[in-house]
Amino acid sequence: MDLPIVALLAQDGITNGAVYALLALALVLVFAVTRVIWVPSGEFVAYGTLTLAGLQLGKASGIAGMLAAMAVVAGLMEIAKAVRQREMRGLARSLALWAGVPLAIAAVIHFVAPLQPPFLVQILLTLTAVTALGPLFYRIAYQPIAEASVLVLLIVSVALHFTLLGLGLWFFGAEGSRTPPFTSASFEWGAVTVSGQSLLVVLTSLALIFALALFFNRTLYGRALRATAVNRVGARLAGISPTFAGTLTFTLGALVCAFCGVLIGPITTVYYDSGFLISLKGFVGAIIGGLSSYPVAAAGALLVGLLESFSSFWASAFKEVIVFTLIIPVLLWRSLTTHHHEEEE
Amino acid sequence: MAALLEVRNLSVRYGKVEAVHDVSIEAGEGRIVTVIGPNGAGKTTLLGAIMGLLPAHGEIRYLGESVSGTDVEARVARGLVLVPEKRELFASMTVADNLALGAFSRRREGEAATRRTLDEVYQRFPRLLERRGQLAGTLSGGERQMLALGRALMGRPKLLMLDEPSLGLAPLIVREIFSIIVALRQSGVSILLVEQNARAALQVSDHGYVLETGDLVLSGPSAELAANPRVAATYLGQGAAA
Amino acid sequence: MLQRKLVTALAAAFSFGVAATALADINVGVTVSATGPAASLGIPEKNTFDLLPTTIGGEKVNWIVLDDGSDTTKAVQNAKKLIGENKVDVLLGSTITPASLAMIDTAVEGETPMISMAASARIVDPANPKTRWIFKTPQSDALMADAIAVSMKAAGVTTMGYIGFADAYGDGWLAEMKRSAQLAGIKVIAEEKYNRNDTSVTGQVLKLIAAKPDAVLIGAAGTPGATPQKELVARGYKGKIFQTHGVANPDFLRVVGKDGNGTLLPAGPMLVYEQLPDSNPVKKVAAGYITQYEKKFGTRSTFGGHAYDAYLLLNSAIPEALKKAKPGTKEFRAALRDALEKANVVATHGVYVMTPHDHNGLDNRARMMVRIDDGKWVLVK
Repeated sequence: MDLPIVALLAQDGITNGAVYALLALALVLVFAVTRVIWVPSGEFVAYGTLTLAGLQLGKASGIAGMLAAMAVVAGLMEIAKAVRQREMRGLARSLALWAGVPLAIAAVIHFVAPLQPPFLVQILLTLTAVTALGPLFYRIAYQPIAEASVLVLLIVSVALHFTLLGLGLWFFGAEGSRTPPFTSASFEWGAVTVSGQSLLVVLTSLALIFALALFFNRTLYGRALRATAVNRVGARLAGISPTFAGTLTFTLGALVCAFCGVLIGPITTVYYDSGFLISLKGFVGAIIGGLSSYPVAAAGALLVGLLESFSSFWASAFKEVIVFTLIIPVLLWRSLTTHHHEEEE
Repeated sequence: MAALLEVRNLSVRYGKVEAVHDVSIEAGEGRIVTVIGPNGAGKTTLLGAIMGLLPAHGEIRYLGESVSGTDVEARVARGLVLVPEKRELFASMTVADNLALGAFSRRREGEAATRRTLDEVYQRFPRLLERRGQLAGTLSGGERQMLALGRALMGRPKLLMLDEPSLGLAPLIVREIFSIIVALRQSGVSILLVEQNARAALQVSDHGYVLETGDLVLSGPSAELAANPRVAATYLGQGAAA
Repeated sequence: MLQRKLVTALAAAFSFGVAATALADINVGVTVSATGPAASLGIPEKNTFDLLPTTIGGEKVNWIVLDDGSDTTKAVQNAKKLIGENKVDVLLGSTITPASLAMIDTAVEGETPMISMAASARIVDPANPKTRWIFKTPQSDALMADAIAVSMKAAGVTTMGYIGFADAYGDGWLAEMKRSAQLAGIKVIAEEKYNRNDTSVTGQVLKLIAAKPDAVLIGAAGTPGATPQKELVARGYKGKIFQTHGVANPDFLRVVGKDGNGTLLPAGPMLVYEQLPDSNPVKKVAAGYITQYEKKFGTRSTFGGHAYDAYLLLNSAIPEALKKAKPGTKEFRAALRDALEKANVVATHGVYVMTPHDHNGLDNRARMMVRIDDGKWVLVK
């Protein structure tokens, strides 16, 4: 193994690690605020890539229909809630938000897709559509049982994972897709070649991580999400509704996943069922961070990326074994060094 | 004059156990009302039910309207604010962040309005200004109580409910806390105070209720209650006649 | 929408399954992998059953099609249900080798002939007495591996590298390729594995290139075969790249794009039937099937051909069996098995000449070397 190979492997590992890191952050965020272990996050990544690939071919895929269907369900749930509570005042507003906005997004995608808009517009459409799925899923599947135990929420997550997998096969077909590269430039540093695509993925991930950090530390809404994660009762007493926090969290989480999907599209072929393994690697990173520390989770995810890259060179047959076995010593070490704290109620 | 808060025939159950039974209380505008009673009498449960944290039977009217169907956040937004016994601070966030989040329900009023309230809170609790960059989890007991009060005040409460504000604090700090409670009333905040420290509570309050094992057993103006021999014997530690 | 039809087909199949045990009808039980990892193979197979006629030899035929989700356990469950509840006369499936191998015992216990649509030669291994009841339509990997070795040798290749799926498909191909390469005097100097869903194969490809093989074979099925191919091209590999017939579908061409140019692979003749000489008997059969398929479902898939060939085998064997016994009886199933063993059928993937020792029956006529040229399959003559 010589320097150029090491450099290429490191570059490959860091590029993938950056995507895993984004996912790890999304997983930590969602778990901290809503206690949901977000198994279907990977499907959001795959939907991101495949929606963009569909738009490339001038197709709105199934995602427009899915948004519309979920908008109708969410709208009906809002009506049912208003009738149950005999409180009609906020209904118009919540209907506009839960049914109107997603229906509008679905309509835009449906009508704009065949026009083959410029690549940047396609990316924006993809991000909007997949991001809109996040809060809709929260509203329909998680919010009604938001106070349930972590285990129940996990089971719902697993069910959603399989639902999205099935829908993904239906919408996008069994075969994979790629999206065109953002850039074909490459840079030479002595013997080391860095591809512009990798650089772009890493820089975009860093920018997104930086933006998220700003959001959580500087804005009131960001701090409200952190407060909910730290102390749910305290947050409620300060007037921060868990429903609001959950909706915002799932919006952010879905946005990050859609972003990942757009980033990996040009690097790899994505299938309707690719998401799970990708999110599982982000999850290993998140576990290293104890599902609570953002920097450790990101570092863990980067480690997963590097480990994966180097083990695929040395022992490709055992690559997954090596990556997922990593989780055992980490869990062992965590359970020995950290105090077991029960959920505070 | 209609009371700020009217609670009628309120009952709260935990499974088969009824923690609060058929309790009716009132808290008037500009007054301090206290609920005293021994440990486990259901005082915290009562506040939790009024706040909407616990499901309850009976009627709760606030500002002349029933709030039974509304959730915690809606009650906070209307100025019904609770400082719980456990304080429930955001331990891993700074003092300044904790205070800023206290004004979350007023986010549409604009920066200037919350800024003014923040200045008032810092004026009332200069210690919080000194410690504004420190994490809430690293504060002393008294400072935590001040932060909890400060966070509640950031929401501009009309009725502030305090659950055992003196619990676990040194006597000197207890005195400080009670003087703050009196000062708050003077600035127009009505207060519903739940205390085990009955002596101090009856001293500062206008009206009092005594809660024992979920039932309201006595009520009246605080001075009268303090003079009641049974209250004096059980809660004020006076007279061996009990 | 292709998938929507699939769902209606599924629903129809299920309702069929309940209603259709009328006595004189011939019941054909099918399990395919229409979902799960092998869905890209299973879906065209499933589509093909939509095109088939509902009578053979004057008798009504019920096609009872189930999905096993590419799952071995589910495939066996399906087989048990089809034999036990639907009393099928013959079992078709499954799409993939592990599921087909697992179904053998069920078929043998039920004394029901079975035609697999999976590739491995082990499914019809004549050394295993159970395979008396088992037949299969796809070309064995060995036949295809030989074609690759011959083609490599002709191009002057002496060393080769291999990168394939880390599963039964990839391992099976590696074993076959090693055997064929040795016969042709070619050394396998690098072996790498990857997973269908891997986001990157940079590590494996760098190691392959470092070994400097004259040619590389990618042992993969469907679009995942494009991942190492694109990486090899991106890393400047200059040798010849070979693929297996597993990638012979239009989606592979779409995903691999211009990086696929010059790639060679063995495939069944139906893939390039237009380019075959008229004298080739396969041409007419393939043309008939593909015209019908493409009219209804879009572009052809060689996997659909495996299902169609299974139908052609039944089409020739059922009339023979009907002479001896009535459908729905043990005797009919045995007669059908005997007839299948004597089948001599021109089909879309070649000419099947079944014997007691060869339950696949395909020969060199069932494989062509094909080159990818600007998104087209070109027959190498």
